[in-house]
Amino acid sequence: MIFFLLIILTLLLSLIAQVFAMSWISVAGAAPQVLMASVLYFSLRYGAAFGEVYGFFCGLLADLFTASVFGTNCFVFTVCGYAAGTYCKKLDERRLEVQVILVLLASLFQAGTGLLLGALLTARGAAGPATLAAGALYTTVLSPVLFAAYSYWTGKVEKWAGKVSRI
Amino acid sequence: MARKIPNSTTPAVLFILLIGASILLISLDLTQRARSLKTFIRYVFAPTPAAALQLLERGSELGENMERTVHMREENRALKEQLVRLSYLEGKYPLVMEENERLRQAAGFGRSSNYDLVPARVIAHDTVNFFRSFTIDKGAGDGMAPELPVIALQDGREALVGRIADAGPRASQVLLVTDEMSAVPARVLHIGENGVAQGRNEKDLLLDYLLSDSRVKIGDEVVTSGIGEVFPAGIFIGLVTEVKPVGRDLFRRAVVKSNMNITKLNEVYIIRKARE
Repeated sequence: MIFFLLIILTLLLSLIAQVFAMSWISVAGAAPQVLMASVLYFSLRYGAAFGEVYGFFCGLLADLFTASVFGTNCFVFTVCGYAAGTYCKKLDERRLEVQVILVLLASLFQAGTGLLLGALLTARGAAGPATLAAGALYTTVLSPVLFAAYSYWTGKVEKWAGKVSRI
Repeated sequence: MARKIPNSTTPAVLFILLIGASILLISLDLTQRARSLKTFIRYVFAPTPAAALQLLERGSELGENMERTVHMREENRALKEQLVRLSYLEGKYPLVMEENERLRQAAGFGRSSNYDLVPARVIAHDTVNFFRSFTIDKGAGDGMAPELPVIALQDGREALVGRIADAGPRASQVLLVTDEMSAVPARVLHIGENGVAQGRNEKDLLLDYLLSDSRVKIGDEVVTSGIGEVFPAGIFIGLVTEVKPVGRDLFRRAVVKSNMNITKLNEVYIIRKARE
């Protein structure tokens, strides 16, 4: 129980970082996708079921804070969570090439889906293709850092959860 | 080590359900309807970065503000103390000026006097009758002894006040010439007749033992005669204000009035000895 509460806390902290803090380090309007990195990391670590549920709620919250079509992030993050989760135990999330390739693919998928749904459902779309591509690239470049941060944080979470459960 | 997540539903079924929910959300076109919810969520979370930024801004000003506050408090306290001190001095200023004037006169008087004078301050009056005695702040430790004459400055000249009746270690009691126990050998200055100036517990003295055919008259100046060696000769006592008829008495009497205001007397001088 404590573990899940800490995961929810992680989700909220990631959301706050994504929505409010990432604008400080944005480049040409493109900001790293912290939420996407968290979904991929947890999916690889805990499996598809955990990843898709985490991704769904992550996307739901992200939809509340973005101007994109409502439900887009839900869809994207759920797909990414499930897809990455199927490679749990098969891919080592600590390996750099795994992180980079996975994040790049997920970011491109997110950008493509956003463009597609934006074009279909709204007149203006969510964002420009260049911005989406820059964001995908930015997230990819930062993925080792983000994965390292989530790895460190998850280690702490598991440690605290273990201590609390023993108590 | 990775944590085992309890999973009772297969990921694929869960995936289908979640994807279905996502597509439903998209197809329901909740973007506009969720605007109020978005607004609310943004309102709830907005203080987070705003507060962080404010904290950063305030943090940079915090030290300066605290320092300024401390300085203001110190300055305020110092100004209050200064105000109290100035108020006290303002209240005391007239008294200080008056005392200064008296002391300036006394200093000149002390230098020009023919006697070795010890200045003293009147610290207490007789509680029943002001014309009987008072206490000065000089005692045996300052060379005071019974019978030493006490004078004061009146209109720029020496005037007799009384004598020391009792000398304590740090204070002495002065018996005034107006006390009924006091008797001072006196002389009517312009005719040279001797008598005794006796106190009556009131402002006036009674000059007794003048010759029955004395030529004393109102306005004559009365000074100490020097007889008895307690009071030096020539110290002003007062002026004759009334000459009493002889009647059946052998001696003539006169009332002598001193212009000295005992109740306002603050500084007196004790004559230790006449200067060589």
